[in-house]
Amino acid sequence: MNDDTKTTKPESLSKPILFVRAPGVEQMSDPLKADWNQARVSAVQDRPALPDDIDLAELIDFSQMNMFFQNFLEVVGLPQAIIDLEGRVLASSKWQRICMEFHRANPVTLQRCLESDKNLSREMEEGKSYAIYRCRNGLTDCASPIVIEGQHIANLFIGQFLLASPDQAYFEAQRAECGFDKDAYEAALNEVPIISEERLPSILNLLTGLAHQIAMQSLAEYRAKVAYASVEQQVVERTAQLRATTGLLQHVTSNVPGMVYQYRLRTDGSVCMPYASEGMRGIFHMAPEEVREDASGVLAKIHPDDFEATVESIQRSAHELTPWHHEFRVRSDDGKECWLLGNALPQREADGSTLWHGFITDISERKRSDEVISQLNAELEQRVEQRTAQLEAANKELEEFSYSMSHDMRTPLRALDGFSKILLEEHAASLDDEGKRLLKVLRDNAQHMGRLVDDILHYLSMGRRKMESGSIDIAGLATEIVAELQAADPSRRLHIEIDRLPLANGDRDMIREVLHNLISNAIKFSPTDGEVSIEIGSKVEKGENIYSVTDHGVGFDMRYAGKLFRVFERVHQTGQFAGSGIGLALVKRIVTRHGGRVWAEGKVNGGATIYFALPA
Amino acid sequence: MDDTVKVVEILLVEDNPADAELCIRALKKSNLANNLVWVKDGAEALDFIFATGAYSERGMGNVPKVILLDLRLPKVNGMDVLRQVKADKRTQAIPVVVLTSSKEDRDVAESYQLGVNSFISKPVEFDAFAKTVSELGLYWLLVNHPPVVAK
Repeated sequence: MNDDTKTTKPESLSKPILFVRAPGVEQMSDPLKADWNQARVSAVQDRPALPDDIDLAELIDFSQMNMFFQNFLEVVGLPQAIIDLEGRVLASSKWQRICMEFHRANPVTLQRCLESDKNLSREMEEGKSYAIYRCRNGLTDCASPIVIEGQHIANLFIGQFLLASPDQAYFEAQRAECGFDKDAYEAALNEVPIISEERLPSILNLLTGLAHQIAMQSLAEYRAKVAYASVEQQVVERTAQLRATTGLLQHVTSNVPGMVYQYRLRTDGSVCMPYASEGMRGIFHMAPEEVREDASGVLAKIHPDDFEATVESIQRSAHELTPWHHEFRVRSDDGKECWLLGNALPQREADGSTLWHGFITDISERKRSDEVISQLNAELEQRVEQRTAQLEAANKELEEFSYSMSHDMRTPLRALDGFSKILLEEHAASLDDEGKRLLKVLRDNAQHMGRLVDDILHYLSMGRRKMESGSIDIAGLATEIVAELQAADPSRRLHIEIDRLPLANGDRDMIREVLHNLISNAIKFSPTDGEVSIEIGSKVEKGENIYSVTDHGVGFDMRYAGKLFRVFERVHQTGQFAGSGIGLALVKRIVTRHGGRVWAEGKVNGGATIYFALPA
Repeated sequence: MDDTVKVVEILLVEDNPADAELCIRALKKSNLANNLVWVKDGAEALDFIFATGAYSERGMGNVPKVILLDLRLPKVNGMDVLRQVKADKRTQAIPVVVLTSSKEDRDVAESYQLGVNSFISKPVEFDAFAKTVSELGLYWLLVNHPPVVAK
């Protein structure tokens, strides 16, 4: 240090560093526990909640500042406080006696203090970085906002000083108004420091900076605590979930019928089962632990007859990475055999090994059932064959019976007819007209029965006859038949249109009968006067040749379509049309024997079409 | 004794009396029944044809001009009679006409196999039956030249 500096008095030393009148600190007292501050707590609770519902003011432990503020007070001599927006003191050094013992003690002046605080807060809210103002009790305060994360939560006050010598008159008036003791009040007033205004900003910055730091720290601590609690909570939850999942997995794999497993085939050909469920014990009589590193014991259990096929199937699955599906037997040490079904999906691992995930179930029961079923099936087949043979035999018997019965009827019928004729011829004299008429009825009926019997015999023989096979020109046949029918009854004018018809394959004589029946039916049911118009056509559909014979005669009621092809069923009144009623049944029988089918469409008085289809 | 002397023209082998009567009537109408012998079963037919049994005194020189044979016969059935007749040199030349209710293909086939000369199905209707029978009779007795048995 220079001697020069010691001798001359520096300019700066003559100016007050901070204070014009220095403060004393001993008389100051703590505002935090004051009644009026506690009262502010309820006001705080009414404040609308902050966005994230944290009352920062509650949260941030500004009380850490108290010590600092007090120390600062003792060093610098200025009281400081952090006051929230409702006027509650959150942290503070001790305050001037004039404030604590007088202004804040008296309700009137207290009110003014609170108002002053509020007004100042408001100024801060309006966005100022600091403000200096005169409190309503005459002292000067200075404040700076504390903004945490964009929220203006409180203000830092430096207060209770004067910028110039006090206005005695003002304070006297105040004293008198409030009834303060004159000497005590004056003494307290004189303790209030006078500070040069230009020092204030830097003090404020220091203090707000510190307050800010502490606030941030508190907030960070809080947040960390919250996060930690949250993480802890999550860990607890996750652990529970995990436990539940593991428990479930364990439960499921222990209870599924069979076993679930992982099977690894390493590149050196060795095998292991990194995971195998408890079901392993029942199926391979080994523990899951035994096969974790080496599963050759499992392979050893495979039935020797199935071993190669099983190994080959695994190789194939590994090579082509296709699902493994295989049935095989295992043989236990005591010789007991079980059928197993294995299903697994392979995947190639980074180290070149193949890993399957699969399940194996015991299908011994199923195999046994399968055997029983195929046996039953074979038996069933046999029984069906037997039954069919029985039925066929019974059918044949019935037909034979019908045949011989009908056959045997012909002889007595002949006698009936013959002898009644003889009677008519040779004993006409002893018969009157009525007698002759009666005999005639007898004869007619005998003859009718004869025709019926002949028809039945013919129908039955269509079923027994051996069927020939050959190509048939349907159109040609039809033309022949028409010519025959026309010749047989020249009085009816027949106009029959025959389309180009596909050739058929079958028994010519039988098909001829079919056509003969259908065409003569068509003629029979057509109107007797005028031209008889009939069309014979065809169409090819789905592998069938469908032939049709259409007339424009009496037709029939479609309701009775089902009866048309039955033996002796009639859909017109008895006697209306000649014929025994076997024609269409015969057609159906023949067509069915050829592997075809018949059906009809008609309208009462609107004609009819009979269709028959033959395999093309 | 009378039977043996008489010339037999038609041998009717028919078990059903009604059918037999109708047949004979029809033949009578055409005047063809004068020398008709009626036997009622296959055994009797064979006895007559081969002059055995009850007809052993007949002698085989007198063979019928035609045999009308029903197939359904008691004792020995028609097919067997046919067989035997056609199997024996002495009788195989005799014309045999099967006159039967049956229309069965197999009966027809078998009969022709055995050498039947004609196969007729009896119609139920009397008029047709009568016509058939008389045409038959006319043909075999008058139109057809009877076989000459080599002596």
